[in-house]
Amino acid sequence: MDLKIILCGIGGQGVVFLNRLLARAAMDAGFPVMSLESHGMSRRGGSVVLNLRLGSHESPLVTQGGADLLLALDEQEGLRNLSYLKSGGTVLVNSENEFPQTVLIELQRLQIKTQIINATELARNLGKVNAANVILAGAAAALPAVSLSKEDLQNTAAAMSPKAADLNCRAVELGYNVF
Amino acid sequence: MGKMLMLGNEAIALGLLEQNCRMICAYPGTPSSEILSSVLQQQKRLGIDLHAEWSVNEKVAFEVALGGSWSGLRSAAIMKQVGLNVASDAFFSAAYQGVKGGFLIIPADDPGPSSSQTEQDSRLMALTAKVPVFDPSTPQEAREFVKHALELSERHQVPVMLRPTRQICHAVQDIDFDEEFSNEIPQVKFDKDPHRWAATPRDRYRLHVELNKKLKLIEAEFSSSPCNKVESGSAKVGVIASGMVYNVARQILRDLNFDAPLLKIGTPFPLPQKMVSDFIADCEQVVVFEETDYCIELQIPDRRNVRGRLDSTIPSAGELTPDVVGKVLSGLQGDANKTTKIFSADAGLAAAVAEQQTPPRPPRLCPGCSHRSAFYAMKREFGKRTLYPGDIGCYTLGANLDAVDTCVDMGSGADIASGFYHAHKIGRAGGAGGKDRPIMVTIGDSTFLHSGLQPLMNAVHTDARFVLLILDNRTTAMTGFQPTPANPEKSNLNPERSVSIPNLVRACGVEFVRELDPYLQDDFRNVLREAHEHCRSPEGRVAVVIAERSCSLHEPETVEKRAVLITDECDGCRYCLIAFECPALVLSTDGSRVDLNEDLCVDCGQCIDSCHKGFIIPHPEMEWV
Repeated sequence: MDLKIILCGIGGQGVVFLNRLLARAAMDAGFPVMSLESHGMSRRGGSVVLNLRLGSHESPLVTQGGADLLLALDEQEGLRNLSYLKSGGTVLVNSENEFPQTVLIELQRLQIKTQIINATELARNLGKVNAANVILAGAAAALPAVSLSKEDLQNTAAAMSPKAADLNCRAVELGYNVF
Repeated sequence: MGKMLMLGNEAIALGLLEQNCRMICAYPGTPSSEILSSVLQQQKRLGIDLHAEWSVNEKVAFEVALGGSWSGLRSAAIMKQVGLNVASDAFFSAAYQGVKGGFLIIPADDPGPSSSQTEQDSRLMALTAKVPVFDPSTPQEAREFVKHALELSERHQVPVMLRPTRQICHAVQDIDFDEEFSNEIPQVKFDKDPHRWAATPRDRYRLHVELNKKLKLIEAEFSSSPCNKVESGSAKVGVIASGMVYNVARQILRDLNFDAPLLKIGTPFPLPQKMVSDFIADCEQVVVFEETDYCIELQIPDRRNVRGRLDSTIPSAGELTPDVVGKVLSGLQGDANKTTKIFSADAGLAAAVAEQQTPPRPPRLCPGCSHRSAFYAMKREFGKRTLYPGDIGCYTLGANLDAVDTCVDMGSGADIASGFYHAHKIGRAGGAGGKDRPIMVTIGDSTFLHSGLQPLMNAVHTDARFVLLILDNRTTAMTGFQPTPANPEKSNLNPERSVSIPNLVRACGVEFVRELDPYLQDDFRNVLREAHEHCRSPEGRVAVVIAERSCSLHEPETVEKRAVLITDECDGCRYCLIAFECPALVLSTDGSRVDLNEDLCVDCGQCIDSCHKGFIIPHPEMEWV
């Protein structure tokens, strides 16, 4: 595995937790991990963009046009950061809507795979709107390029947050089987 | 042996504990804050005997840690880069005097900048103060450099700087470690030596000469240090790099298929001159990548074949992102456009995205933030013609409500206010403008204790007339809720020993001191008005109002539940969006009305006053506390 990932969302959505969850699951599966997080000025409501590299200790910083995968917890933030993707990459976005038609045409031209998942709605049904990030992690783990096992991700989620272990395991399950 | 995912700051904390550092003092500031937080967590978990404190400011942190070192303990002082400015008086002096127990100064730099007022390079401060520097390129390396730096400090009896950038502090890496920390505390004793520890100017000359000798020895050691290494390559262009940008450059060289020799520098000051000049001699030209400014490049005496910031090959401001490094390297490889082929966004996609005009999401005060209520009440009472000097903290975001006109550095607000007051008075005396306008200064509790007290004393004795509004949310919120001397409940030391802000203010000679909950907006406006009248009355002086309410993010349970409803009559006039500026108030997609974002709203009920038309009302179906 050598994956360059951009994670984005809004401060308060749990982008950092999403990052740690995937990073730690990859680490537990034996892969080296390097990431660059964002702490400080994006506490609530601000744009958050994180860089994650799975499978290598080289620079975690991803160039424009260089990401294999874009994980977006917010539709607008996902849209804003699309140009990080390289052709043939994948975008997985938490949204109720498709991307606008003009954007979709470009994504198709670049053979970028678009996966829309309404993780917020799924999380709300699960009883906790904040669990959208874990659902997205489940969906990401199931992508062929990532292929982390569901059980590993569940174990990692449980270890990271024992209090929410049950909820997060169900959230992973939901995300993993969404497509 | 286990593996753990660690933030660079956590890896530095681990390094300090592994290396038996027993006195660790810090003032919080992004990107450095998680170092001491992590030390405190580990201390609590493992029960290690060490003194760790959130000091009142960076100068205090440095000096307390220095006292620890002079007593024989390995010690560290941690801060953000601008904090080193505050500590610099002690920093420069301590370089001459030297240390006993290994002493590390760890200022975290912020290329970008992402959350600082400058992009200053702490390595250049170290160069000026003559303090050796280690510059790590990964979290794991930062942890290892703690060991090298402490050993160097003890060997040569000098303070040593470990300088991580934000990209190291907030990098995450899997780290191997076993939890074996030494339980041995070295002999603690302060050995009197007045010619060193209380050195007079005459002694200082001798100490300066000694320091220069130490630096010579250290430079020689650095030439064979494992922190610096050459990776060979066949290209005629060589690359010198340090810090995170070393990894970036290495990655891009590989992506470009550019086999350039690479000299990694982990000890940028004093620069191992022979190692560097030998490397340069083997290349036709050399490019230097370093952050945040030119510390390595500046120390190279013959720069004829050296490209970098000094000859404008590399931009002289901003972070060295992969895109920037890619452009420079592909240019040197001979095809400046190659990088745009490999490293840039697809033009068509970028254009389609730009067309969508995604709304910017700048940082904003949180829903329920007591600062917002204070700013809102202040603006309602004093309007646009008032001068609003501000300060550094979450509440700098009061600028979003047009309630912060200036922001310089920690504690500056009241000084700027004094300057404004005296200047306008002179203007009036000379018939040269200086219209008499109210001056309302805002400063947070932690910043007030950090460096806001002296400006207040100064205002009292120079008779500057303004209102100082201390926004006391009982924590250091912006950097992650560190305790302050006035609110030490969460402190690891003595949670009961607190300093009273109102008493401090009174002791400065301020007569008008009021404490009030800013959620009581009407009362708050009245008190601000009284404070202003007091400060401008003939017998008056500077007045202080303390807005007392806990941070709503830190202690959400303190927000009384007062749910609101935006009625169907809302006509989308947007006044509330501009005047109250709460993230939970959002314009509907068609712009016809304002809606409440239920996921963000914390039911503080503070926005009601911001609809003059009365369309924001207490929720009829919810009980108000």
